[in-house]
Amino acid sequence: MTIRSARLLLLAFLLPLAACDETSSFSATPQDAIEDAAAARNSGDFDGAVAILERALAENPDNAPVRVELSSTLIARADIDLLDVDRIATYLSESAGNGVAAPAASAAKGGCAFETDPGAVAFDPTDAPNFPEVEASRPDLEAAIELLQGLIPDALRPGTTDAAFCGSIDTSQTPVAFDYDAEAAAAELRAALTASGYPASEADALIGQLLADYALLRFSLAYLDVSEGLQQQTTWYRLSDGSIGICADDPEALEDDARTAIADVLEALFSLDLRASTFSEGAAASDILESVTAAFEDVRDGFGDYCAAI
Amino acid sequence: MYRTLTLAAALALTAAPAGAQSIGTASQDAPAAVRDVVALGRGGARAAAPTVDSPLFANPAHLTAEPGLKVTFLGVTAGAGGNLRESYDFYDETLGPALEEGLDVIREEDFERLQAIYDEALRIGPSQKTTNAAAFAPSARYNAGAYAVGGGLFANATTRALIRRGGAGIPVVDAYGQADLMLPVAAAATVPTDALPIGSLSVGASATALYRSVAAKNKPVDAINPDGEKLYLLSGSTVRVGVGAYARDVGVPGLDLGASVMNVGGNVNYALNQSWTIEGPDDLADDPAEIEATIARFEERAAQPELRVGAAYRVPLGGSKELPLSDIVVAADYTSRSTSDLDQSFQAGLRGGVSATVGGVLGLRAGLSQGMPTAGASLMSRYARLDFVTYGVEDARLLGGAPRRAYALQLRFGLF
Repeated sequence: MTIRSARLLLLAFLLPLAACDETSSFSATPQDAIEDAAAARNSGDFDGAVAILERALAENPDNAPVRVELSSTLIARADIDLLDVDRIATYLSESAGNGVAAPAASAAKGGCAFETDPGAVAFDPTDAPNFPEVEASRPDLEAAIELLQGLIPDALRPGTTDAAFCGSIDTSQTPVAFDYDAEAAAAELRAALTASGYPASEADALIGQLLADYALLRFSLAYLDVSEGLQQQTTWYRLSDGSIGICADDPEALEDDARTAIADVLEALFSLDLRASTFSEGAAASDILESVTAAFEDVRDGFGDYCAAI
Repeated sequence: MYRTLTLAAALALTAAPAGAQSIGTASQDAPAAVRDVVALGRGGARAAAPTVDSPLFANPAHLTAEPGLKVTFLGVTAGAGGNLRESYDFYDETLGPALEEGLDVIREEDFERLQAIYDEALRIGPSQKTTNAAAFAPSARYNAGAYAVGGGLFANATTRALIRRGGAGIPVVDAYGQADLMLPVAAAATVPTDALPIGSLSVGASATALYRSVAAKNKPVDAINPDGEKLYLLSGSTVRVGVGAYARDVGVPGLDLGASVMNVGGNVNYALNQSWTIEGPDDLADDPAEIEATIARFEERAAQPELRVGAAYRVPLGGSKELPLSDIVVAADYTSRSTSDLDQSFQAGLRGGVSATVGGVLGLRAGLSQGMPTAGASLMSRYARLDFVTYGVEDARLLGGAPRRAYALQLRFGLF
């Protein structure tokens, strides 16, 4: 055999091995798509991951795992995470003295009780350091929550009544008790995932992810709504006892206006509770739940006397 | 929360090792085999190109490839892969000092810095960080001509760790370790081929008693309890069998063909072997739910037979005295073994390359594996050999999705 023929033989052997990049190939099944999207996401290609999952969703519109993964990927692409929630919460609870001046119109007309309180400092909720980023990500966040809407059990949607706001949480117990059917909600979520062919042993981890995402989305969008989306002109105060006070020209209209947003935060709370109690038990998960519960009560009581008649 | 983050960071970035698969999905169980560093340098091709380890782990018919007695008295392999170095640098220069300082302090004083640390951890984290260690107790093979036998005792440990993005951006720690004790035995015989244009044909079979222990932690960081977290070691055993065929000089002198089906057998039935407290009091009670969930996750991973077919060409040098080269082999394989959590494409199963010996003591190898280059070198003597290899592994379903580079160094003593 000559050197030339040996080279040709070598090429014949090796050329098929130089397999080209396959990442643009179409994913055959929803599980393939989830795997391919994870690889793209892990390499920082969020747009690519979204495109893969959107294609999979178009083919399988009812596939729960694809909806969860696409929702998660949209949140990741928006670069919104738990630290953003923490930053907003930190901003809201900053000590008095760092606030900004109250908008004149609101302070002048409303007869607001906090206006003359020497310990109350007005602040603007849209001045949170990361507010512009959260606000800019609103389209992705809205798309993400739309994907999860159909998967959330009714048990996690307490509604907008005063009774739900005030009667579904018992802070006198340790840990805080929530009045909803956690077992039924967990069973419904597991059934939705396994019906899509998702491995039963992996379902709980994905449900934990879903619930954390849903809580993040509900909280972030509710914050955007109450800080800039209310019809009422509001003035926010940090009070000397650490709570938040909110004034408006028409307090009753404000109560109604903020009702949906408060219900959204309550949904976030139920989601976090189900996650912490059933799917991702742990001390820190409980810590997060406690913090959000305190924030919920502050916001609820700041916007109105929802619990006065309960 | 920040205490938990500290624990998670320590788990994921200082905890050592790793293998090849995520336990996050129910896919293939790892085969009962050690890394064949010689074949890996050649792209991984070995179905028709025997190596020291191939008769016991890739194709038992290879027992007839060389005459006489071959013995390994003792050997060790150490390997690492993924972005281990980048992870270490991140820990050494950024995360370690931050943990010393206190993440909660940084959160209060410099939130941008905390965000940057978090973002960098989630950038570096998703790539697998792997380590591998293997020990070779005595093993031997003897070829009497018409028949050949072999066997040995091997230990192999692999570990993998990564951090991925969970819901709401909460990091999930996914760490996995596996330790195997293997006792393979194999036999092969030559088959008459008078009616065929084949120089020689042999067939073989092997059986490997496998005792496997696994440990894993796959949790969001906020579910890791800094006051009470345990790690569970699960163990079980099974037997895997394999068959193979190896034909030399098929039609053309120097052209060899090989095929094998290995790793046939039952799944490992795991039971709790031992538990360790990672954080919290030493007498912390076991968590039956976590044990049950971990066992279920591993037992869903089926043991899948591995099909391997290949061809090799031993380049004839015509007894040239000018060239110091010898044993030039060009080889290519297809293997059904997936290196990902899910089944991979046909291209991902292709392996191939070339190997040669220089001056009788230096072995050089190069090739392509899953579209990525591989290279290896050996220093060889009659009684010892030192092998180095670098190779690529595809962790994703599709080539190019999550490529990882790995390295391994092996030292063994024996009669070669």
